[in-house]
Amino acid sequence: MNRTFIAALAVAAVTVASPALAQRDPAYAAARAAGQVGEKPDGYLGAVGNQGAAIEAMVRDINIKRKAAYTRQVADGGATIEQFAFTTGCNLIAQTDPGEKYMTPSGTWATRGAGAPTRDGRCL
Amino acid sequence: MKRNQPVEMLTAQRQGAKCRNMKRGLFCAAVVIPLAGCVTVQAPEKPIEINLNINIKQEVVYRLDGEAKNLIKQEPGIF
Repeated sequence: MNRTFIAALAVAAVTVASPALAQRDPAYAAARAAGQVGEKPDGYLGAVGNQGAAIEAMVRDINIKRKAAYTRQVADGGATIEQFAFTTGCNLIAQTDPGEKYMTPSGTWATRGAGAPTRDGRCL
Repeated sequence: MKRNQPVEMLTAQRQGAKCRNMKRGLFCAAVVIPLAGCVTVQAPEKPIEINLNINIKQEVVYRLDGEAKNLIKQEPGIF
């Protein structure tokens, strides 16, 4: 095997080994920035009102992946999926950028401002 | 009111009529007043789906918070 081949192999290995979803899909990023989708207290994404089939499908797809991630995290039996999802939701809402949408504990959509978001009292 | 009747009977008739009218009035009031207090209830068009009753204690949040933060860092694409 020559050096070029080994180098190419190394590059390929790094590419494959990197996280499968390293960055947000551009459509998802755009929908977030436009306030069409927002974070919910239960740890899942939600469409803000009626956003059409494409956005709804994207939200569904992302939530399926999130649930899979939560399920993997609680595989050792330390918590329920719902509990881990809620805790992640607390953090996700705290990490929203100003202008993005999130759902308050009362079930209404709010726009993140410069200050702290309105979160469930059990969030840290 | 009938004529050629003794005064006592006329008075009694008047009182009877008064009584009947009062009863009618009370009956009417009894029917009308509850109606005035009626409230129209309309069900919303879309089903209400709020899943905010999440059963978790804050001590569990404390315990899971670090892992949750790590997960968000490790898989930023879905978060």
